[in-house]
Amino acid sequence: MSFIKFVFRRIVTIIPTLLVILVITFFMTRLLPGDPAMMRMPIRFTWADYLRERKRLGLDEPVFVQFIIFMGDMLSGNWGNSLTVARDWPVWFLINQKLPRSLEIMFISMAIAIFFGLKLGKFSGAHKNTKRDGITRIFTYLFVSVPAFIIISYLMQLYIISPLKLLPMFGYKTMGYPEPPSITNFRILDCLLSGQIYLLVDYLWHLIIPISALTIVQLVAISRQMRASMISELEEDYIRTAYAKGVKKKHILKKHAFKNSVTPVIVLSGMGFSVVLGGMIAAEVIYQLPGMGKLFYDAINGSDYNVIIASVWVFSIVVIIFNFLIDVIIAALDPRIRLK
Amino acid sequence: MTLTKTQEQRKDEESNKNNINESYFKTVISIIGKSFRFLLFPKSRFEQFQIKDIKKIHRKKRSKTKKMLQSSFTLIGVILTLSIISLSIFGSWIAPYSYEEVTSYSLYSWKPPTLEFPLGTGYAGRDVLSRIIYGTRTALVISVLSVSISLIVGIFLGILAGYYGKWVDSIIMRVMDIILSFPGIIFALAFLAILNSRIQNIVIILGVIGIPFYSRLVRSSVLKTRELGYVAAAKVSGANNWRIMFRHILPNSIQPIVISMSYDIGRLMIIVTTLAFLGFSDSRYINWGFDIYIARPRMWEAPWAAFWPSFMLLVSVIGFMIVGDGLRDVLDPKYQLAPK
Repeated sequence: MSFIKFVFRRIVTIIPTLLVILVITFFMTRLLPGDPAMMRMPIRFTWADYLRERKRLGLDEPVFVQFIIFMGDMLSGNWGNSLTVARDWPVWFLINQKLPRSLEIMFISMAIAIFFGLKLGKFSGAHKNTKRDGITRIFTYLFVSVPAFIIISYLMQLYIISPLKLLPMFGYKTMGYPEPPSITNFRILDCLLSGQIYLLVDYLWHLIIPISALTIVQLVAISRQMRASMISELEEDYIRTAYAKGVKKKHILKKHAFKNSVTPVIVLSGMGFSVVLGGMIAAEVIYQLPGMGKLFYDAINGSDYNVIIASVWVFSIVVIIFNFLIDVIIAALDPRIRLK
Repeated sequence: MTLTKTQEQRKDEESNKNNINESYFKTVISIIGKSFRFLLFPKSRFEQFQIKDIKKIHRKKRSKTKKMLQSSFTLIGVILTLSIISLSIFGSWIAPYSYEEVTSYSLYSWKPPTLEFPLGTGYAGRDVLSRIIYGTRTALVISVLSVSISLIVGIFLGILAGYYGKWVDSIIMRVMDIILSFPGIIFALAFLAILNSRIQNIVIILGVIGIPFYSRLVRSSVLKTRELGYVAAAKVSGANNWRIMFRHILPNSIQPIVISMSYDIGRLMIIVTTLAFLGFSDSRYINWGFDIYIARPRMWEAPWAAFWPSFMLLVSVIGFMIVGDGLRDVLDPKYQLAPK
C-alpha cells in the first residue's frame, strides 16, 4: 500500500515541475532580449507585416493574457508550425517522427552501459588498489574525460582504415533502402512488425558506432560511481559479519555488497541523464541520424522558435519521466525510500 | 610502520632545528614538504591516527606497489592540474605565436609539424600549439567561473535551508529539485540560442545549472553539523545566526564541496567544449571545441589539427578527476578506513 502511495505522491510532485518549466520557457521567450515576432519574419518584410505578425502571435496583449494563452497552447499540444527546419510542417508531427528514433538509441546505449558499467564497477571496487583495479581505473579515467563527440569522430575514421569498409561512415540506412511503414515510429519496432528483417539488420549495423560512443561515456561514469559505492559498502559491519559466518567472497560480493551499492548508482545515473543528452545531440549531428538532437540543433542554428520551445518541453518531459521511473524502480527495490 | 613514520618525523624535526640557521631555503622546502605532503601522498597524514590493531591485520596485504599506485596516481593528477593552470596563466609567454597571429589568416593551412610549427598548422595556417595553449585559458576560465557562481549561490542557499529548516528549507529545496530535474544542457543551448553565446552568458547559464547540486550537498552536511555540541555552545554564548552559519557550520561542512569542486571543473570543461563544438562559443576567444569542429572534416589528411585539442581536453580533465579522487582519499575518512 505504501508503494502505491509513494508512486502517487511522486506523480503529484511532477506536475508543478512541468508547470515551472513552462513558466521558465515563457520568461525565456518573452523577457530576454530577442523578439519572437522579429525572429519569425522572412528575410524581406515591411513594418506592417511585422505588426501583423505581432498581433497574430498575441504579443500586443498584456503579459498576463499572453501567459495564459501560451500555457494553453503548450498544454494542448498546439505547438505551431516549423519556421525554418521543415517549412510549415506542424512541430507536433516533426517531434512525433523524431523522438522515437532518439529514444531507441538512448535506451539501447543506456541498457548496455548500465549492465556492463555495474559489472566493471563491482570488479574494480572488489579488487581495490590492486593491479587489476589500476588498469580499470586508467581505462575509466581515459574515457570519462573525453566527450562523446570526440569518441565518435575517431570511431568514424574506422571506415577509412578498415579495408573491407566494415562499418558505415554515417547515416542510418544504406542508400536506396526503403523506409519501413511507420506504425510506431520506433524504427526497430517498425522493421520487426512489418517483417523486414534486412532493414533491421542494416539499421543496427549503422547504429554500431553512435551507440558504442554513447555507451562508453555512460559506462565509464557508472562504473566509477559503482566503484566508490562498492568500496564504501564493503566496509559495513554486515559484510564483516558475513565473512565471519564463512560466506564465500563471491557470494558476498554478488548478494550482499552489490545489491546494496546499486541504489545510489542508479540515482546518480538518472541525474547524469541530461549530460548524456548533450552527447547525444553531438552524436546525432555528426553521424547524421534523424533524431531529436539533430532536430534541436537545426532549430537552434536556423533560430526556429517554435521547434526550440517544443523541443525543450519534450526533452524536459522525457528527463522527468525517466527520473520518475528510476525513483519508482528504486522504491520497489528498497523499502526504506518509500517510508521516508 | 607507525614507529618508522614517527622516527622519520622526529629526524625531520631535529634536522629542522639544526638547519634553521644554515639556510632559509631548506626550511621553506621542508615546511612545504611537511604541510602539503598530504596532497601528494594520500596516506601520509592519516597513518598517525590509525589504530595499531587494524594495521597489524592488514600489514601483509598492503604491499609497496599498492601504495605507489595510489600515490603516483595522485601525483600525476597534481602535476597535470598545475601544468594546465600555469599554461592558462602564462600562456602568452609560453606560446610561440601571439594571439593576433593565431587568429589571423595566412597561407600554409593544414601543414604537418615542422620546426616552425611544432604541432603543425590548422585552419587558415594557424599554429596548433599556440591555439591549444590559448584554448586552455578559455576552458579553464569558463569552468572555474561557473563553478564559483554555483558554489557561492549553492553554499548560501544550502546553509540557509539546512540551518533554518521548516518552510525555508522546503521552499529552497523544492526549487532546487525543479532545477535539478531540467535537462541542463538542453536548457543552456536554448538559452544561448535565444540570447547570444557571449562568454558571460555561457558562464552564467552553466553556473545556474550547477547550483542545485551544491546546495543539496551543503544542506545534507549542514544537517549533520547542526546537531553538534559546539553549535549549541555558540548559540548559548550569544553568537547570532549569521556568525554560527558562516563561522561555525560552514568550515566544518565544506569537505564534500572541495571534493566535488575538482570533479566539477573537469566536467564543465567537457560541457564547454561540447557547447563550442555545437557552435556555441564566444568567437572572440579560442576554444578547443571550435578547433575540433573546424578540423574534423580534415581528420584523415591533417589528424594533428583535431587530435591536439582533444588531447589537451583529455589531459586537463584527467588531471582534475585524479585530483578529485586524491582529495577524497585524503579528506573522507570513511573512504580511508576501508579494509583492503
